[in-house]
Amino acid sequence: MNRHKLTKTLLPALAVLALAACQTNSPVVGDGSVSYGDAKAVEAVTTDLGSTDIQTTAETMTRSLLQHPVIQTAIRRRELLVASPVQNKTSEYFDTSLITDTILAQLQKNGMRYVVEGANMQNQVDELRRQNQSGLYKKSTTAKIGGMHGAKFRLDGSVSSITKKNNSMKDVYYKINLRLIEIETGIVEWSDEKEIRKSAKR
Amino acid sequence: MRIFRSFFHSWSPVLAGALLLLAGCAGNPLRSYDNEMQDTLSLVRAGDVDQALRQLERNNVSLFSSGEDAERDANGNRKEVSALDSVSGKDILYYFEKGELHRLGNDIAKSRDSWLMADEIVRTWEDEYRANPAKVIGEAGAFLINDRVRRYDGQDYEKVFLSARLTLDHILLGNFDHARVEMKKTFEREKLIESFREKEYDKIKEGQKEQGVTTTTADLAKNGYPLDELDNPEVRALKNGFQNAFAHYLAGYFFETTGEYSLAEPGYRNALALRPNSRLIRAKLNKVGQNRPGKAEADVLFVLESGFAPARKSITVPIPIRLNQRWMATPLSFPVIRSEGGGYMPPEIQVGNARLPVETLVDVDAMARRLLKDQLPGIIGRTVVRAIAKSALQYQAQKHGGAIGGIVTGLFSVVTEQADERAWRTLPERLAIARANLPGGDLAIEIPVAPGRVFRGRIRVDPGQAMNVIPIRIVGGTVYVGNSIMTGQDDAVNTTPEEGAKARKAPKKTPASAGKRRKVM
Amino acid sequence: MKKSFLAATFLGLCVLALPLQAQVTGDGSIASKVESLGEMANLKVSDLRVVARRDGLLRVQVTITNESSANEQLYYRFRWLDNDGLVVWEEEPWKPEVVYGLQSKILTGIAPTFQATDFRLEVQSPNNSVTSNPPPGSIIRQ
Repeated sequence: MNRHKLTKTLLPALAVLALAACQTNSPVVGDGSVSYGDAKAVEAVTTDLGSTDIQTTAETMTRSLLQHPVIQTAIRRRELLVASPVQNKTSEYFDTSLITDTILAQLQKNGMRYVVEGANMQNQVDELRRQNQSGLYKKSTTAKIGGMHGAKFRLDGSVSSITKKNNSMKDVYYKINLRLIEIETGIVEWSDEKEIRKSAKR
Repeated sequence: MRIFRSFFHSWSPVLAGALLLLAGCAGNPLRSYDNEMQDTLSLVRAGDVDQALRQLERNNVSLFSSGEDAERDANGNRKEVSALDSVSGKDILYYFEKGELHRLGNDIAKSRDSWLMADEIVRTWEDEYRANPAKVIGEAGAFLINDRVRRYDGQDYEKVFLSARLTLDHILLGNFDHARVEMKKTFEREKLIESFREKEYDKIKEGQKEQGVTTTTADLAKNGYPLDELDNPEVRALKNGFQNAFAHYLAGYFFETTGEYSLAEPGYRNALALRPNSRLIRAKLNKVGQNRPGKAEADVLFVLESGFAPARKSITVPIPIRLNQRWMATPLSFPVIRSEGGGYMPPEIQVGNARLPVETLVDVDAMARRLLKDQLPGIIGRTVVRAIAKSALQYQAQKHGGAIGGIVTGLFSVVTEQADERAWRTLPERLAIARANLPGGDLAIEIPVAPGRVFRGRIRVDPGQAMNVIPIRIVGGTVYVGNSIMTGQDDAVNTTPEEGAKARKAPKKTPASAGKRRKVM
Repeated sequence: MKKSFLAATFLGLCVLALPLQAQVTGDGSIASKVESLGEMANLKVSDLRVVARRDGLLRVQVTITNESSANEQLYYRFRWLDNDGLVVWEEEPWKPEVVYGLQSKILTGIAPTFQATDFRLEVQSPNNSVTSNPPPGSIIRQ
């Protein structure tokens, strides 16, 4: 076997190997028409409230809350928080619990505790009743009625918007306002705002 | 039908003559939809929904699939697999009307199924637009195709109304999750139509410039077109010809009932933006979640509908156009809106001890006018360009083809010179609401159906039910009360004694779907 | 010979396609805290301050200076680390920010958790010089 022949056979083989190394098979099923994106990416599809707005608002609000001495004390004393429904004053069908749920989840990672409210409250009551009234459960394991904890603080707020339109562009200004209220006294202990401006060419 | 029609799109001049033989079929350009629907509408006015349904079926005997080869289900009925099925598929109007008739006959499930078929056609249009906006807009601006041989995808307000009616069906059937999805679709549809119309408007303007069409709506009015009918205060008060205040109000009601106030608020807000003078809507705004019903009460929403949606008719107007270097007054056909009339909407209804104010949320008549007003510049452009092209063809045919050619193209002119009359006719002319917290149980209801005439009946309010929506349709003195929770107690219903009314026995049905219809004439 | 040349080209391409890994040193300089997706052509991180107050939350203040006279789009986010350099918080959303021509803009970051003792700042600008990157995974309708 001369050298020439060696290069002739070996190098293409290497090339094939190299190619194989470059194009590994991804663990994906599908023809590529559907793909996963970055959930944290900046979403700029329309001027409606979108994922980036929810994420950044929840983030700003949580960090602002976390810095506040009232919350830091509440975390230490293991006091309870509840989220009231945040008012939607815009004309967009936007579920404000998307924001408050994230805030509660992020605060809880730092030790804040919260109690259920709204639609979840109904499920809670149903379950309590089921355990106590259906007669199906072992007495020693049932959750007693009358033992639920009341929250010390509640989170409240509103989302508003101003929309301006002309022939060439649409501009929407959003203001998300949140407040932390001590339930017993009604004192607003903390409040913060997040402003968002979104513009689109028509 | 569909194959046939798309075929026709590309070969219209050749096929025009042949089509004369096919009168009476749904896909045929000679069909006068308005005339065809008259019998059906009379039957509905007379309270005979079953007969009206049969009439509708007769009007829609399919050209290719009426034979023995059609797929049949166990009961021997022809199977309807998909609205998009190219052979057995009927057009969207058939499904519109059929769904409505089933709704009146209180067969909500069948009505939903029929409307879901129609919805499939609308969604196809939406997908086409999403995938290739330029193409769909281009078709809308295609100048040489007569409007009446285009595929009918439903007018804008019909598309939105379809979705709103499907939502109501889902609520009546207790499928709240489906209703939720449908509502989301309604509002996405509104946005899509808005973007479509904006883009189309630009395209039409551009196209008209290209084709050198200078005829305006003012020229039309000068030559006898009743333009003022499209320009009355009710029409001007509308923001556009497709947004549906009821759809938004229903979302407000729905989400207020489920406790999702942040979604209920935009519902009421959008409804108010469309009906700025509505007291019922304003009473709800910023008070969502307040004034909730007590323990033995229910928040009842009455949906009152009256009359039939207006017809589109052709009117022939002489328009000066330039033919063979000369200006000639040429008779051309344009659509006008002709009100069905007689849609009486009572100012209030009496339920139990309460008098409830009734407020109109949707005026389909005005919406149809508004839509036509917005479409008219495009229609003018297309009609004028077509007339020019056709006269050139006729000239050529007479010159070269002799007498026979002249006859063929002459027929073609007759065939194509009729405006598009298609519209969803069983849709109500007006839709209004009344709402109150009412005690549970059987309640007497009094609905004025014409000045001095009152329909009396009973409804059942069930506080245990998540939502209490009661649809009421008033047409020509006949009242259809759809109440999914009403039991079939026929004897409990009184008709006005002075009219000597004939009470028509409602068929005995399960309590879940039984309903009443009474003739009061 | 032609084949061997082709093979070599393939190999070369493969090497190029490997991701470039940047080594970050822990000397506390700006460069050690800032991770730029590509070299930012016009935007510079001109100042960086870190404070840990008594409450235990890390606070970061970053000054971004736009050296061009045109407006620049900036996307940024922080990554929060503990003493051992482990990530202690989920990925933050990318935050869009407009920096006007010749403007200095102050970005502040507050640790989302008491466990954070160190951070990295990720920055990206559509006008980055290495390649013209699209904004981070941005979802924009064509």
